[in-house]
Amino acid sequence: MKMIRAIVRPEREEEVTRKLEEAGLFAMTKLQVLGRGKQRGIQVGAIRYDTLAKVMFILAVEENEYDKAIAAIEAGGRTGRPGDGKIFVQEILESYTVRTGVKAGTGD
Amino acid sequence: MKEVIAIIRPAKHFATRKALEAAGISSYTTFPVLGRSRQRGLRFQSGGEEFVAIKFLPKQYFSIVVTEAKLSAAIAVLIKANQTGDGNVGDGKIFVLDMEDAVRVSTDERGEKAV
Repeated sequence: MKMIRAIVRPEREEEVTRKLEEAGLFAMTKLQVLGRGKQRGIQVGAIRYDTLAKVMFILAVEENEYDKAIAAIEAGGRTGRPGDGKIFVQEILESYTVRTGVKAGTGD
Repeated sequence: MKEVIAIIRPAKHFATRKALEAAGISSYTTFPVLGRSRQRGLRFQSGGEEFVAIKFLPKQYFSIVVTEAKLSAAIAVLIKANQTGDGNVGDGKIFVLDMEDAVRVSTDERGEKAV
């Protein structure tokens, strides 16, 4: 399993959710964050915004869902301009469903 | 070291804190998030037709960095504290990820000493 963390534009939040749904991925966690990339925020006239509002999606996906998850986030989040966001991926070693206490992939 | 990520019911937030404390796990980061699983949020029956009424539900997110020795205890505590026991969905998920290094900012201690 893979843990995907995607940081996208807040105005693309609905679109990313929709694309993920179309790909059959309904389970996700999201939160509002502040962040910046290598542009160090944005300069508007005399005012510098050090950080910008973003939405972070956290998804746990199976190996066979991984490629379509990335494609869906890119399709939903892309405008082609700086600030579209980043996707980070980590390996999940174990996962459990609290209700049943069952470890995924063990069946007990 | 491992990072244990638990996404649980907000109503179980303080019960979870107490249970972790009792198990000797006192350091973690937690914040409110919005989430859903395979059920796609909450569904209500309306006119015989099923539709999604609430797409995302409030959840509490815990990130707990533990040493290998405390990993299984942490998972057991999280499951025990968060099972509502009625077989209802929504009790949450626990994920275990590898944590390569940890640094205590105040003293520059590294690895397990910093956890």
